[in-house]
Amino acid sequence: MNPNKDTLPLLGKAVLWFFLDEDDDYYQAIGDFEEAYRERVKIKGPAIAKLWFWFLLFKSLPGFILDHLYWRGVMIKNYLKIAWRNIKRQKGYSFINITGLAVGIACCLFITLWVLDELSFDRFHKDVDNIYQVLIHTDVPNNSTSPALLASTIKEEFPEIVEAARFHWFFQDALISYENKSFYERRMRLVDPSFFSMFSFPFLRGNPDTAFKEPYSIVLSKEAAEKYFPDEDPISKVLTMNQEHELTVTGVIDNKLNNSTLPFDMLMPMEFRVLTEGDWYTAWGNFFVYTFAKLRDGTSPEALNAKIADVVQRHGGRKDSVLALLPFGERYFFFYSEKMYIYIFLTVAVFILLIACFNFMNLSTARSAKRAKEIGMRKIVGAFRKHIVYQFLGESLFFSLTAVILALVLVALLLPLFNTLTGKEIFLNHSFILPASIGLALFTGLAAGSYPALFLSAFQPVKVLKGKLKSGTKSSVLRKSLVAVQFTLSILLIIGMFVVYKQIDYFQSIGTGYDKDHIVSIPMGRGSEKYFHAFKNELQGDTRILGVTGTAAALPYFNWHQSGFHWKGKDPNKQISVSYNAVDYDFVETLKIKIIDGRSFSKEFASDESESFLVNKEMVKLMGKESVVGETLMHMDEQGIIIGVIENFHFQSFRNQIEPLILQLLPRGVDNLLIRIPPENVSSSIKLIEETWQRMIPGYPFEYSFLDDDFDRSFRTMERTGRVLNSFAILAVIISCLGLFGLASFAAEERTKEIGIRKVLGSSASGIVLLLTKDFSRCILYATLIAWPLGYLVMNSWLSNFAYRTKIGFSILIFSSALALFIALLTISYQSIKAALANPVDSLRYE
Amino acid sequence: MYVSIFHTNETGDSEMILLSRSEEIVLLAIWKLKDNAYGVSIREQVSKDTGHKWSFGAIYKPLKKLVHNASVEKKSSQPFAERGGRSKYMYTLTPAGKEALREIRKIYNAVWTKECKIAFD
Repeated sequence: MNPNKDTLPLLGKAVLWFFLDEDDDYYQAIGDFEEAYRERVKIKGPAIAKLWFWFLLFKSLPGFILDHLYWRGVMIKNYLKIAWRNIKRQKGYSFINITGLAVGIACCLFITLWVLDELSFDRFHKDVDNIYQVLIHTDVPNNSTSPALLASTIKEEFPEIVEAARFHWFFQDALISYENKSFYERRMRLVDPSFFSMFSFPFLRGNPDTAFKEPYSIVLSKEAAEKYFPDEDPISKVLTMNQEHELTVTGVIDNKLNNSTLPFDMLMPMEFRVLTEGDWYTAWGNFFVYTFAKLRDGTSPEALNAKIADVVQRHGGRKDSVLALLPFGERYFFFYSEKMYIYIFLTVAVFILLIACFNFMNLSTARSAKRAKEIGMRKIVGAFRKHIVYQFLGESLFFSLTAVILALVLVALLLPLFNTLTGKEIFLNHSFILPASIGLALFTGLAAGSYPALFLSAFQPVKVLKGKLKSGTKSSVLRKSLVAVQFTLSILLIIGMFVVYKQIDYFQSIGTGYDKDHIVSIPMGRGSEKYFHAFKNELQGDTRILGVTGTAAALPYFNWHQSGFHWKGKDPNKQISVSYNAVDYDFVETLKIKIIDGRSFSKEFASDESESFLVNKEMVKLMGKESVVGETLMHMDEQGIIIGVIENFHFQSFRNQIEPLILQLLPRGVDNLLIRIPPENVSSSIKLIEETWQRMIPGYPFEYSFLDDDFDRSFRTMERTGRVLNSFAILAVIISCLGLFGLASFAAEERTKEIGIRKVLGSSASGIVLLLTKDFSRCILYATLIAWPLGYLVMNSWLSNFAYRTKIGFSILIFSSALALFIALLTISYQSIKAALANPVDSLRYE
Repeated sequence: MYVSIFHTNETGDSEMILLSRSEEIVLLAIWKLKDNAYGVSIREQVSKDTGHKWSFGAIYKPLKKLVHNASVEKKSSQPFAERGGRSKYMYTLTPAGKEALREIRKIYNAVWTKECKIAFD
């Protein structure tokens, strides 16, 4: 063994190096440790010696650290002073650096707030991890509805289930009145009393244990309570439902506090439904309630899942039904949202932060020549590389901290705007904001500062002090690559933005399959349907009305499945569910749906009222026949004849394929009115309808909407996503351009003399502009080459989520890059034109 | 605990040195070790004097202070094989250091009167 070689563990040496600031101290310590260690090895052997060494090292650490802090304290004052002077001297650059970082950090904070909000759904229930929703797979997978008897049955049969509760709703809006106030309530829900012990909805008034003791009780949301009882105590007040039932208010719940996938305005006991509508709920074949189960602590959901799978079959329900447990905490992403958006937005946040960090790195290294002399001087009077690294890291931390403070101000100011943009109600959660900002400040400070710190600290004092240090080609290549990466990310975001918009546009352009414009949609309250025919007759004579019809389930979107249809040639053992709706005469005509084969419902055929069906093209495909007009359809013990085939139209989300649909007449009167009015004089038509309504259907409020608005509403999530993406893409481009502006002015400044000489030798101004923009344009070209395939792949996989989707197309790619290039050139042009037009005499005198 | 001493430097100005207890112990150890005062030996001496083990970290801190206020001088020696081919950093007392010790002694004698010594022995 070479006696001159260290025998200390390498890690131990690294620890010493890290904590000992000066080389002198380090060599002394390592020598001392080495000597003492070898002595120990001789006496006690290497194993004990090693233990002893580590023990001694850790005992020494407090001393090292205190020492370090003591001697550093002297320098910190100096560093702060120099940093402040630099900020003041280079106001423009400091401004670009800090605003870029601040905007980037603000975007990150917004996105994290949004993501946290998405992840918070249903998490406020104490037992959320033990609660499951029972789903049923049939030929349609993941039915969220189940038979009404399921809840009590599984609770009895399986000891693992400690609690089961049902959640149900009224099929029509209920008319709720108090004294002279009445409103249609859309979000009235029916639940079991156990619902309150299972879930943790916060009661403002009333007792969750006793709220539903009586079947004629009602629990209100805070908003509903304020709507009906603005200055009274709602408890024990009586509300009237559908001018028939009297309900006593037993509780008020604040459901705005938390994000819930079970939203409601009013809750009523399930028992009410049983009392008022008889034993409608005993059939195992009908699926219409949500069933939730709470498992005993420590129960394996997989094992229980296997046991309960056949419950519905065993009790005589559908033979093809299989039960499955869905963890309640995952309900939001399963039914209402997509985890994908979380990933997309987190990626966007990282992109923006990276772009802002790159700005910082580029500008600091570009300006390095200005500080080269300072670094040289520091090194000559005894600073080691480590100290310079610390100094510049500290400086960038100072920048990022300032940026974070600015970002917090931005977030606080722009939060309302962000909320309207995303359609959420996000508050600043202080327990999150504080650690997040500190974390972001540290991360950006270290990430953005590490490269400049290492780059600047490597300067050799002799070279620096001898002459002006030109930033080398190596660093300018790196700067250009960072610009290229920035623009790659920006172009990616622009592509994303355009594709989302194109998809929304596509949805709107393929249309619904019927003419949705100028159709007024009016809900008819329960009990008012008997007035429908008279109301229709009254309206039909007027020129301000083009057509009146109606449906049982409201357009533009309904989700009504019926199973048990049979026809000749169908495998009798196969159960198929198809979409179903009941409509009034003139439905096809008023909505202008194309008839492909046969005829529409007509009053001329008396049999149409109960024995005729209209089907859509998809249904014809399902039946597998050339022509189905005249075929008999059987349902339970009834049967009827298909009289016509209509063109497919959209009655569900565009995410899904159009399903087979069967339409039947609804002679009793409709639940939702659809009235086509002429495009001119909309307001006078509405006025006519309203007056007629008030004359003929008194006591029911007149509420209307336009079908195309309702239709557009369903794009809202996607449109919002598009808008958010849009804003962030624009911000990303702005931040990139801020950096580019700084770099361009630096490049112009550095080449002042060169430009002067070129001009003296006869170069034109346009030639100079070209010279200065060439470099950056090339960066954007490279960025394009990376962004296109990446953007194409990512957005294609997003589009594959939709049954009806647009193509990305080359034009979007080209346009995205062209836009980026245009904005970039615009940014650079100011600096390059200024440089090109400068008087060469001044340029040559420069320095 | 800090003991303040005044000593006079070459220019005749009076300036104050702050000596902490650990600095005092280390300074005395250096004096006792004469020509052989460096990290390892100082640590051993100090541990022997006080009766408990000191870590290197605990002696480097006062050593650095003592060098800074010119009570001791630090010089590197020739390399030694048992140190992995590294030099020892030898410490020697300067006249200022000796003066500081003398001052400390004086102050102690003044503060620790006979009664105190009897009471606490």
